[in-house]
Amino acid sequence: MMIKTRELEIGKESLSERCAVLALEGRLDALTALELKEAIRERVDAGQVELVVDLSGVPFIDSSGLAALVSGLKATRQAGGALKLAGLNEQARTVLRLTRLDRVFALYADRAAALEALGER
Amino acid sequence: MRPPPFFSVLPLPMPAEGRKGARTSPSGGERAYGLGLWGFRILALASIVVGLYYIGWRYTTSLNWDALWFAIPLVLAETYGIIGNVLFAFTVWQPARRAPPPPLEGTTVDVFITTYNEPVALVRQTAEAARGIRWPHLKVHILDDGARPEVRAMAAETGCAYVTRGEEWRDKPHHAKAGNVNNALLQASGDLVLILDADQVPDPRIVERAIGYFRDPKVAFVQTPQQFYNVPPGDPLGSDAALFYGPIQQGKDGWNAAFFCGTNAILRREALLQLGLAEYAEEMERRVRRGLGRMERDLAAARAETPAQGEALAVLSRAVAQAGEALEEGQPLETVTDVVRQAMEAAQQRMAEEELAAIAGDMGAMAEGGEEGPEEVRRYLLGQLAEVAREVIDTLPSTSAPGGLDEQAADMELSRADEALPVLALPTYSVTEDMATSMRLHARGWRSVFHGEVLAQGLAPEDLASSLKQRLRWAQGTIQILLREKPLRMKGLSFAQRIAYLTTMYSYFSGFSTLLLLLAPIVYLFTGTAPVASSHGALLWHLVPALLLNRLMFWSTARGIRVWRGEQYAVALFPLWIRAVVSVLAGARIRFAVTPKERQGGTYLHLVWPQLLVIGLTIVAIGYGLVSWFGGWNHELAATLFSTFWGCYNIVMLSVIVKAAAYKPPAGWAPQPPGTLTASEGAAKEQG
Repeated sequence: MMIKTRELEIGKESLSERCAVLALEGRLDALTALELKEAIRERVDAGQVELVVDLSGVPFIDSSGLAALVSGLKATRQAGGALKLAGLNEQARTVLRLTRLDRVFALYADRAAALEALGER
Repeated sequence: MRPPPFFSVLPLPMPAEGRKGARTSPSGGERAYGLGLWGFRILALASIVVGLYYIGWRYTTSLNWDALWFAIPLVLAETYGIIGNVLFAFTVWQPARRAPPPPLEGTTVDVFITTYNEPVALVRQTAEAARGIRWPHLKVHILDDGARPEVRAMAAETGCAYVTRGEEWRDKPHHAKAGNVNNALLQASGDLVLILDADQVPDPRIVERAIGYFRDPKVAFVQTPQQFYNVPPGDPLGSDAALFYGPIQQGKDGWNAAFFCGTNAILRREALLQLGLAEYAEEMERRVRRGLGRMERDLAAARAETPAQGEALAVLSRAVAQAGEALEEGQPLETVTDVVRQAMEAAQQRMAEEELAAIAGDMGAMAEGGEEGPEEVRRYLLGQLAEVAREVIDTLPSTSAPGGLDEQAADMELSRADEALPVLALPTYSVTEDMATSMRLHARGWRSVFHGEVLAQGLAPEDLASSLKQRLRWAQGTIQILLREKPLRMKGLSFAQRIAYLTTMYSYFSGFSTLLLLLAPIVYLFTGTAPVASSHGALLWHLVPALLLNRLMFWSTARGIRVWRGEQYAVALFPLWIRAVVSVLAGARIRFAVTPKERQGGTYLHLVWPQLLVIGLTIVAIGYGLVSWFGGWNHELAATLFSTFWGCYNIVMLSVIVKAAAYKPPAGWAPQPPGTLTASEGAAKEQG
C-alpha cells in the first residue's frame, strides 16, 4: 500500500454517431476511476452509447476501477446502448472473478472482437 | 452497540447485551479474566453442566402436570435462559489478546464524519479533532446529508473536504447513513476509511494505534470502543456498555467475529467495494432470473390480435428460451440480456411497421378520392417502412413492449435503475447496516479486529425517549439481519462465527421469556397454583447451584466492569424487545432515525406504562399472597415467601426505568467535552 501517483490516459476514438472506443493506458484504481467515469458520461451525453473499453493497456485494476466500469455499464444500458470490455490481462480477470463481476460482463479478447459483438446488436 | 444478553438462569430474568458506551480496558485480553482464563472456563463448563441438569430436571421431574398452561410457558422461558447461557459461554470462551502491531507507513486514510442534522458546533468539534489526528496521509471529509450551507462553510474553515449527495440521488432512496457512506466511498481514494459519527471526537492517536493491524492483508476492519463523555453520575439511562466493548467484543474477536459498530472503526476501502461489487453481481443475476421467469409466464398468457403481434410474441418466446439456456450455461449476464433486448427491439419494430402499414392503407383509401396529400404520405410510408418505424417506435402507444413486458425489460437493464448507485458497499436494507456488513465481510473470508482501547469519545442520548428509540432501532435492525442473512446458513462463515452472530441475535428475543418470568410470581400469589411440582428442598437443591454458577461465570467474565445497570435495563426493557421482534416479523418498515444528541425536555412516564403495570400487579399480588397466608387460605408459606422475594427482585429490576423516566440531571452537572486527549492521558488510561 504505497502512495500512488495518478497515471491513466484515456484515448477516445469515435467510430460512428452511436459508437466509440475508449482506450485506457495506465492503472485503473481509486485515483483514476473518476476520470473514467467522467469520460464514459461524456460519451453517453454526446449520444455515443455503444462503447468499447479497451483495457489492453491497463496493467492493474482495483475495485474502484471496477465500480467505474459498472457505473459505465449502467449509464450506457439505460440509454439503450451497451458497454463491452476488451483486452483484459490476467490480473483484471482475477479481480473480476473475485468480485463475481465475471457473471455480469462479457469479456472480449480484443477491440475487434468487442466491436463485432456490438455490431451484432 | 447493542444487547446480547449475559444470561442468567431461571427466575432471575436475563439481561441483554448493551451496545453502548464503554469505560474500558486497552488492547484486548492481556488482563485475563479475574480468575485466569482457565478459571473462567472451568466455571463456564460447570455452569453449563449444572444448568442442563437443572433444565432436564424441570422437564422430566418437576413439571406441574395439573397446571400445564402455567408450567409449560415458564419452563420454555427457563430453557431460553439456559440456551443463552451456553451461547454466552461459547462467545467469550477464547478472548482475543491483541497488541497493536507497529503502524503501517505509507498508507492513505480518509476520515468520514457523517452528519445529518447535528448542531454545527458539535460537528466542528469532531472535525477539528479529526484534523488533529497524527498521520501523514490523512484527508478529512464531512459527509453532510443535511446539505447545510453552514456546514459547508465550517468544512472550508477547518480544512475538511465537504461531500453531499449528487444529482444521481434525486428521487432515489437515500438510505440514511449507509447511503451517505456509500456515496463518499466512490469519491474518496484512500486505502483505509475511518468512520466517525458526528459526535465522536477522535484521539490524535486513533490511526497510528489501530493501523498496524492492516499489515495482515486479510484484515477488513478494526473496531474500537464507543465511550460517552456526557453520561451523568450513576448512568440513569444505562448508556455505558463496557461489557459489550470489552469482554463481549474481545470474545467475538477470538472467533474472528468481532463486528463493526458503525463508528470509531477503520475499514479497508477495497474490502468494502469488493463487497458492493459482489452484491451487485448477485443482485443482477437474481433480477435477470426473475425477469426471464416472468416474461415466460406473461408470454404464455399473451394473445396476439394481429399477425405482427403473433410474430413478435414468437420472436420473444424464442429469445426468452434462448436466454434462459445461456443463463444456465453460465454465460455472462450481458450476453444473456442482450438476447432479450434484441428480440424486444425486433418485436417492436415489427409491430411499428404493421401499424404504419395500416396507416398507409388508410391513406390509400383517402387517396382514392383523388387527393394528392394522402397518396404522398402512403408512398413515403411504404417506401421506407423500416426506417420510419425505427424513428417513431417510442412514440407509438401500441409498440410499448409486447405482452406488457416493460417491467420485466427493466430487469434486463443490469443498471439497478431504482437506486442512485449500482454498487452499494454497505447494505442498505437494514437500519443496522454495520452488522450486516461485518457478516458479509466475514463470509467472504475477511478478518476483523477489535482493539479495546478507547480512541474516541461521543455523546449518548440524554433522555429516555431518545434512548428507547435508539435501542428499538438496533433491536429491529439486528432481527432484520437475522431473517435476511441467516447466520446459520450463510456460506463462508465458520461454525464459531455463526454462533457468535446468532448469540447477539438470540439475545434480542429475551422480551418474551422476561415477561413470563415477571408474571410467574404474580400468577402464583393470586392463584396459589405453582408451575413447579417438587418439594421445596428439591427445588432449592437444583436451582441454587445453577443460579450461583451462572452469576459466578458472569462476574468472572465482567471482571470488575459494573454491569448491574445493564442487567436491570435488559430486564426492564422487555416491552421494547417484544415490540422489536413483533414489528419486524409483521413486516413493518423500519426507518432510520437520527438519535438526538441533545436532551429533549419532559418526563416520560407514559413510555413505561407496561413496566408500571407489572410493578403495580406485583405489589398487589404480594399483598394478596401474604393476606391469604395469614387468613389461612394458603398454607404454602415457603412458596409464598419465595414468590414474594422473586417479585421484589423483579420490582428492583424494573424500577430503573421508572426512575429514568422521571430523571432530571443534578443541578450544576454538565458534560465535559473531551477536548483532545493528550498522549500521556491516553497512556494512563491504558494502564488504568
